[in-house]
Amino acid sequence: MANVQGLSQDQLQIVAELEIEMMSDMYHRMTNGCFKKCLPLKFRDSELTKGESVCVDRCVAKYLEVHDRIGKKLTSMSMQDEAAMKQMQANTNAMAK
Amino acid sequence: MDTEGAARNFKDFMQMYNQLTERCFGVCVADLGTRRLTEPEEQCVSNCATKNVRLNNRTMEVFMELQPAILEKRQREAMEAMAKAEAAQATSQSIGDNQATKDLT
Repeated sequence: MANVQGLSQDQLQIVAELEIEMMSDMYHRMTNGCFKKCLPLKFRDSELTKGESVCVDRCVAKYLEVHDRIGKKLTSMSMQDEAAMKQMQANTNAMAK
Repeated sequence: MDTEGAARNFKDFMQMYNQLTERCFGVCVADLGTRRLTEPEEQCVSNCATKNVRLNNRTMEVFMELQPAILEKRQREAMEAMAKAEAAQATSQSIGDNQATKDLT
């Protein structure tokens, strides 16, 4: 059984699992990054201060924005690469003829 | 296409992507007084991502260039070591043989 992208049920399962794994990896890195940027290393109080809460709020928003931007960038770069590769292949084919 | 290879590729890519986000966020975002990326931060993230990708490509190029030579060298050294070991064994054996002949006579 294959769907539109030609992936079987098993393959879809693998992709879904990988996606979850990578999402959790991203989350882990984000937590670390925002911890570093927002919390001063003096734990006088167990309560998050107002400032810290606001900082974490913005930090998560910004992290996700950076993630999104880099994702788009990577996609566009890989598309450019593919186009260049195709062009090169076409050129070599034309030369061979 | 074999699923395992594709899955590994996908995972490698995602790992690279996450690492890139982490690195560029750490370097480029200094001001958490705003919720959206500022203009310079945006520029920095863009440059950071592009440069990292170029760095990856360049590293791969150099690696591909050097790797065969290193592999060849390693193989040659292994062959030499084997030849040496064989020669040593042959000598010790011939000494042993000589000893045996001497004992017989």
